[in-house]
Amino acid sequence: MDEDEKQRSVGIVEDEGMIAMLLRELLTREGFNVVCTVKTGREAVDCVRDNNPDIMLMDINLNDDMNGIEAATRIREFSDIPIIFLTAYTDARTKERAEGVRPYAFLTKPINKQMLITTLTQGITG
Amino acid sequence: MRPQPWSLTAGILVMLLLILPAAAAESGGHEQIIYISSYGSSYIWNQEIEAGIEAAIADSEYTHVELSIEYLDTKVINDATHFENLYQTFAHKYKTASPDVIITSDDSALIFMDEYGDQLFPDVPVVFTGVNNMSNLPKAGENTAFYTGTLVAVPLQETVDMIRGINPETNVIYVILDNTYTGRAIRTQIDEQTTGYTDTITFLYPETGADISAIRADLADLPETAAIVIITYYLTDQDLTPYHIDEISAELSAASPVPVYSTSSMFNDRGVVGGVQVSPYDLGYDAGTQAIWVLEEAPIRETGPVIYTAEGASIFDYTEMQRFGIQESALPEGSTIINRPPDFITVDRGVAVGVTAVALILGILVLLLIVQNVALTKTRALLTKNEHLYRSVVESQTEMITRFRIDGTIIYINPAYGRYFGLDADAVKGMKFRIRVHESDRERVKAHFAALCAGAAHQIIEQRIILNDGSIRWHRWDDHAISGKDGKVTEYQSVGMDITERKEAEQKIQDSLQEKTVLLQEVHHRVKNNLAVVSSMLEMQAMKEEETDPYVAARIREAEGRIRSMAAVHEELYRSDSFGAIDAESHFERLAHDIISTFPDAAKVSLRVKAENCTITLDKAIPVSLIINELLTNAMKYAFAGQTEGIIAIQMQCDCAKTVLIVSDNGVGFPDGFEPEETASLGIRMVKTFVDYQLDGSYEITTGPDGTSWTIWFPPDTR
Repeated sequence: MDEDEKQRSVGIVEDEGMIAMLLRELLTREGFNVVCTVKTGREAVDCVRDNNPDIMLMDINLNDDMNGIEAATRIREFSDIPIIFLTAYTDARTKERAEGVRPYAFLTKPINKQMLITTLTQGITG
Repeated sequence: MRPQPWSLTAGILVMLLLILPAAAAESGGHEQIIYISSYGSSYIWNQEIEAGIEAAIADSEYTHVELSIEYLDTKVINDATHFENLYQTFAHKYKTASPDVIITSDDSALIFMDEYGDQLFPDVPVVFTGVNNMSNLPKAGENTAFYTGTLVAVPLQETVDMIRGINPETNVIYVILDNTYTGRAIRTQIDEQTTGYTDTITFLYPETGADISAIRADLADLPETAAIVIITYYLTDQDLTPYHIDEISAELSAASPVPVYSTSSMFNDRGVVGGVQVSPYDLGYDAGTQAIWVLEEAPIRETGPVIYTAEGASIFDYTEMQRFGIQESALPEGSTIINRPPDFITVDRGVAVGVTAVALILGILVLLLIVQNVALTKTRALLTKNEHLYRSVVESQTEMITRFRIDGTIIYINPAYGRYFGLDADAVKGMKFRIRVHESDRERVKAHFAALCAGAAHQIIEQRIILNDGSIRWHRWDDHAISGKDGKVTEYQSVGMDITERKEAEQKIQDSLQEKTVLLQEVHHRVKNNLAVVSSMLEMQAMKEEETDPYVAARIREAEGRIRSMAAVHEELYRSDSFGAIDAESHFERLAHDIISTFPDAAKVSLRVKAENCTITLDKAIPVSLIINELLTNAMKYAFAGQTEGIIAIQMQCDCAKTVLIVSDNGVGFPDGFEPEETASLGIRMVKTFVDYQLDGSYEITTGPDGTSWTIWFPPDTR
C-alpha cells in the first residue's frame, strides 16, 4: 500500500445497507480506499483501532445501543482521526453533543455527491 | 216742659241707693239655723248628718247662714230631768236669739222640741229628720210652729230580701238592736216588716240589756245559714262602758262566722258586708235643703207638716264580699260597692289620661308591630321556603361544597363533601380541616390562593390530594374569595369534584397521542429512509450506466431527483412539531438547494426563496415539491446555457382565497417554437398533471429573452 492510498483511506459507518453500499461504491469510484463499511458504533471503534483510516464518515443515528456520537467519543479516547458526521437532521441538542467530540464536518442527507467528495478530501488533507 | 235725661238718671241712682241696703238686709242678713241633735258630737251618725246639712247650705244661695249645733246626748242620759235641764240651758242661751229654722235629728230631739219648742223658739219652723216613730210627730194644735221633715223607716225588709237573694239558704237572721228609745222604736218597725217571713226565717235578737260579750257569744252559736243585721246605735261592755260606734260593727264582724249586714251606711267600712241602707249624710243634706226652702218660702203652720220618707240604697263593702265569697253578680242591680281596689283611672285622672294616651300609642305601635310581624312572618316563611329550596339544591349536589375561614375553620360543608372526606356535616362546623395537597402541587395551590387574596374573584385549579388511606386523587376546585368590609379576604367558598377518572382518561389519551406521534414520526422517518434507499439504488444504477450509456444515467438521475424531492417532504414532516403541515419557505430553500447542488453549474446560480407565513399540508407538499423539482431541473438544464450566472426565484403567496406559486428564472427563455402545451417532455407533462389532478389548480407560463416564469394557482388548504 503506497502513501497516497493510505492518505485517502476512509471508514464508513452507516446502518442503512443501500446507503452504505452507495457510499462505498461512490468513494471507491472516486479513488478512496474504503477500509471498512460497518453498521454499529462498536464496529466503528474497532475499524479505527484496527485500520487507522484517514477519515471516518459516520452516521449519527445507528440502529444500535451506541450511536455515532458515542462511538466518536470512544474513538477520541485513542485517536484524533477526522470524523464527518452524516445525519438526516441534526437538532440543536444533538449537534451540541456531537461538537463535544470535535467533528470535522456535518453533512446532511440526502448526500450531495460533490460536497461529500470535497469535504472528504479537505478533511484528509487538513 | 220735657224732663232732661240726666235728671231721670240721677233719680234712678238715688232710688237704688235707698233700696239696695234694705234688700241686702232682707235676703242676706243674719239668718240663723239651729241644729239640735239627739246624740253626742262624736257620734258618727251625727257627724254625717251635720256634713249633709253644711253641704246643702253650701250648695244654696244662703251660704252666709249661721249654723248653731246643740247635742242632747240622749244615748248617754235620757230622762225628763235631762230634758228640763237642757230646756233651762237653751232658754238662757238663746234668750235673745231669734233663729229662722230649727233642724232636729232623730226622735229624741223632735220630742224635745215638741215639748219645749213653743217656749224656746215660738213660731220658728222645725225641720226634722231621722225620725223612726211617726207618733212622735207633733199633733196639730199642740204647737204653733211649722213642721216638716223626713221619716226614716228602717229598710230591714229590703235588706232581708237582698240577703236571701245573695244566699237563698239563709234561714236565721240575728238583728242587733240597742234598748234605747230609738232601738225600741225600730223594733216596732221590724216586727211589722218581718211578719211575712214567719215560715222561712227565724229572727233572733240579743237579750234585753245584753252587752257586747253576750252578743259575741250569740254569734258564735249561729248556724252557717244565718246572717246578721246590725241596727243598734248603742252598746256597752261588761262594765257598762259604752262602746264607740266605730268599734261596734268591726268587733262584732270579726267575731261573726256569718256575714254582717246593716241598714245604715254609718257602719260601712267597719266590717259590714252591706245592705239596703239609709245614709245619715243624705238625711242631713235633705234636711239642709228643706231648711233653705223654709227660709225662702216662709211657710206657716196652717199649711201642715210636709213629711218625706227616706229611701235606702244598696251599698256593699268589696273587702267583706271577698271575705265571704259573695259574687258581684248576686247583688241587686244598681248596687254601690265601696272599698273596691281602686282602678287606675280612679286613682289619678291626669295620670290615667296620660297612661291612656301612652297605651293608645303603644296600642298603635303594637298594631304596627303585629302588621310588621305578619309581614315578617310571611317574609320569614318565604325565606324559609327559599332556604329549604336552595339547601335542598345544595345538599343534593354531587359536587362538594364548602365554606371556610382563611385559617381553615369550617363554616359549612354539604353532605357530598362530608361523605367524600368521612366528615359529619354538623359536627365538623367550627373545626379546622385542611385537604392534604400533593407535594408536587403545593406551590401551585399556594399561588392559586395568593391570587384570590390579591383580588381575583374566583380561581379554578386542578390539583392532586392525598386521602387518609394514602391514595392520590385529582380534584377540580372553583374557589371564591369572600371579603369583609375592609376588603380583606375572610372566607373562601369552594365547589369541587373528584376528576381522577377524567384525569386518568386524559392521561391515557395523552399517552396514546404521544405513542401515535412517535409512530407517525417513525413512519415519516422510515418513508424518508426508504426513499433514501431507493435514491441510493438509483444513484448506484446511474453510476453503473454512466460508463456505458450516459443518457440512461441522466434519465435515472432525473428519477432519483424526483425521489429525493419526495423524501425531502417526509424529512420536513419528520422534523416538524406538527405532522399535518410544513413551513413552505424553509422547505423550499432546502429542497431547491439540494436540487441545484446536483448540477455542475450550481455555483453560478443564485437562489431566492420567499414564502412568508405559508404552510402546506402533506397532500399538497408532495406535488408542489415535485413541481419545483421539475421546474428547477429544467431551469438548471436549459435556462442558463451560455450564461455565467443566473437567478432562480421561488415565491409563494398564501391567502384565504388561493395559493399562488411562482417559479421563475432570468435565463434565456424557451427556444423559439417551443410550445410547453405540446411538448413530449416528461417533466413538463408531470407538472401539468400535478397542477390539474393533485392541486386542482391552474397555471400560466410567461417566457422570453429575460427568462421564464411559471405561475400556478391552487385553492388553499382547508385544514
